[in-house]
Amino acid sequence: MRTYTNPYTKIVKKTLDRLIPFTVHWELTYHCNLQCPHCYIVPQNSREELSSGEIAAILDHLKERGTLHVIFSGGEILTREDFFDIARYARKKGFALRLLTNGTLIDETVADQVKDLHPLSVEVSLYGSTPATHDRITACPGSFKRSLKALGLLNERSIRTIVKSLIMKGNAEEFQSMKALARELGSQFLYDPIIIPRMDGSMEPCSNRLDREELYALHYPEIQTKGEDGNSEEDDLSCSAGMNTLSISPYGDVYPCAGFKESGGNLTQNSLSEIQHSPIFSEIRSTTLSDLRECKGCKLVQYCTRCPALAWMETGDLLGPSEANCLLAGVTKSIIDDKRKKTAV
Amino acid sequence: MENKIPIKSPSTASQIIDGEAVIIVPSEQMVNVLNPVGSRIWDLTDGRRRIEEIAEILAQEFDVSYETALKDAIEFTRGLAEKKVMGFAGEGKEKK
Repeated sequence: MRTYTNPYTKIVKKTLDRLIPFTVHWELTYHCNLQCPHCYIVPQNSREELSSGEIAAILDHLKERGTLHVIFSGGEILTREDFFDIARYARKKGFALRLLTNGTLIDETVADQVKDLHPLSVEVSLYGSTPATHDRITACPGSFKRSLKALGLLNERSIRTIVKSLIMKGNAEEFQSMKALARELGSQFLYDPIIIPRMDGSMEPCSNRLDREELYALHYPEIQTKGEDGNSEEDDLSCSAGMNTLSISPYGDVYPCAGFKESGGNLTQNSLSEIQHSPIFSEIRSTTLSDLRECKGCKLVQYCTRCPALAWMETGDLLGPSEANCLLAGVTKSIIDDKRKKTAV
Repeated sequence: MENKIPIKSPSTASQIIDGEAVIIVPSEQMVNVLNPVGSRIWDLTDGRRRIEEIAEILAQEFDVSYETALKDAIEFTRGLAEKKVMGFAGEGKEKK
């Protein structure tokens, strides 16, 4: 049993216990001007995306329900002509905004408008440290240059920026130079080596995942052994999805998180409370380590960052293991063991 | 001071959970959780009420004298103004 002494941690605990949607990840549009092959999104072109009026009404309700953090992502958020109307309204309501973008549509004017939103961060996707690599992955010549320009414009305006990269076959060799590039630009660098399946269930994007040796090489310099024994408590495989976080699609569908594309309902037809008590939300919330048949006895639990969404998307089994998480946990353990042996010698 | 109208800085984000205000100042990457009195003052700060009006409500709700409530409201708003989390109408600096 944990004790919570920090006032903010106590608030977060309350939001978990009371199903307050403290953080909402909102995919405003599935339209994008890039064509990355690893993208999980499959637009449903026959459906209408929510209008700015519908979005404002939902934001009003979220404010009443206790939401503080709103993450706007896409697709590409700036392909929506009404993006700034929506974002300004969200700020007027007092939400803390994080903006996820590829940056290619950010010029001086847009950067000024972003600054006026006072976002917590603007997170720009980058898939290489060179135009050749990045533009090959985005299938959009010139995108590297434009994303870098955006980061420069945002940093000039003292906006906190984060370079976010998915590390895969085809760009892993530029990992260290991407980190250096982010540092040079004045941005934080975050990376993820796990490509998730497409939302229609296709595993095709995952063919670009790194194999064991490549993951080992990628993570070896990143993992420190001191004080990093991984998860120390059994319930650290728990997840806040569907508890104090949820995700909204451009069509109003509500998911436990952005990666878990099993809808609990649609905000144009169902109340948020109904959706939070839908079978999928209830099931994901009630899952504990003891329900996870293969994970509960696994020796890698303390190194694992198991994502229920990933397990479900990979296998259709919410309670099963995720191949990608298992691989990563094994690699993490190997690196820690190897580093300790080296230190002991 | 009691005639001043406190206003929240437009750069802040906030939410009230169970009577406690969580305030985020993006430029400082700072999160504050206010105590119940501070949270109520934050909630009552709507860009129209003067400090004295806020103090009148506090005195009723927290069952304290008007003088005590006024002192608290002044100290609180001054403190947040120093941190640029709040400003006062007409003083200009709180804009953006």
